[in-house]
Amino acid sequence: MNTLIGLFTLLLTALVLENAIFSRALDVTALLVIPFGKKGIWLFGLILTGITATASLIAGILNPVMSSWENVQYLRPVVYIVVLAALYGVTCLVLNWRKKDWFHDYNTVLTMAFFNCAVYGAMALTVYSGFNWLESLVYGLGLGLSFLLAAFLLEQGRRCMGICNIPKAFRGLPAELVYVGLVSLSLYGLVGHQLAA
Amino acid sequence: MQPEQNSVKKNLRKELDLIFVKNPVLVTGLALAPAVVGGFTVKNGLGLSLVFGMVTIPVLVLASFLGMLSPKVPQYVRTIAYVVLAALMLIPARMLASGIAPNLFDSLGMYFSAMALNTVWLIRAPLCQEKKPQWALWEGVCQTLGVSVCILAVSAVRELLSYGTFWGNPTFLSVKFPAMAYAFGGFIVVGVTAAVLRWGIDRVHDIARLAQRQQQKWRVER
Repeated sequence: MNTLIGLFTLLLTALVLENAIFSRALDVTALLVIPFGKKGIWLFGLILTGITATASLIAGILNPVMSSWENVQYLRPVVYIVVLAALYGVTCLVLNWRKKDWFHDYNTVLTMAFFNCAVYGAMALTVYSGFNWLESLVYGLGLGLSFLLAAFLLEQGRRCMGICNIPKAFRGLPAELVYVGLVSLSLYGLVGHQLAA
Repeated sequence: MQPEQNSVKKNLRKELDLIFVKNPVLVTGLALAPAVVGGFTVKNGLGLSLVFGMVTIPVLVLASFLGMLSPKVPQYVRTIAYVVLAALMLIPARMLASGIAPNLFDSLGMYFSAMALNTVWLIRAPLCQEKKPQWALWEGVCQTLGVSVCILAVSAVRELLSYGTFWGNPTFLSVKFPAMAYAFGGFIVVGVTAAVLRWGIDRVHDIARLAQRQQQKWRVER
């Protein structure tokens, strides 16, 4: 029971308090800039969630093995990225073989979902936080879902910004960055942090 | 010979636009994560710029060479080659960064290594496959300069505001806003910098248009 509660807390932490976008700015480019469209960003988010969960699980399994290596701090990022590349290769091979049309249409989305800061961050955070494989899996899942939550919040923000008279220089990316900054600030306050007096 | 020279000049100028007019971070919105979170001191900014250049330039040049391969080689195989090269470039980048500041890697945390998967090369590499290697190299240099200008400017502002220092040395600024070192401070500073850059570019365009109109007027009067 305690383990379950612990895992649920971890999921909530990854989802809200350590949100991939608002507290770490991981993969903020995909959310703000890449023109996936409304449907595309949800598809991207779902694929990203699957990849962050799988990648963190692999990292959680690899971490105890790698900890005994010499110069592990130099090699760990390289190993993580090469593992990610191998995972991408296998996925592309399978999709190209079984679902050629889907793969042809969504090749770019898949590439962007595999190679970004969020997936690398999910893998790297498992070692910084000292998670075991199960915690890594849950944390990766939460990190991916937090992207979807951020996409939803940004969608609402965009709708409001669309009817506001924003100065020309701020329209688009600058206003969205400031908006994400303000949401991030509110989450920071929600956690209970206090700024220096 | 003249049209060829003109085309070279045009290409050189087009890529130079990446530094300000089409800045990869502030205008296009690529590689935002390291700029927003990692760049809160000038030392960090320099480290991020360094690793960005060491990863992006070789990958874009490799893309240009792989573009010469048969079109039968699928795009995902080429992407894997770029990713592996980007990952390997992290090793010399880290060695070089520890030469600049021994604790730079610890200070940047995962953002140092996350630079290997930056969206700039991820988006530009497939387009560089159609370019000659020297043009891919030039684009890599200009992209690096563009990202460096942005990251260094943003990190200088954030370091001044949050710690009242520049490169770790105290400055005249006595008022401090420690919150600027956090992620939300990064978002706001990058957003405002992007708006200021856009405003500046618009004003320069206005002045250029005005000058052009004035020139045409003089020509008609003559």
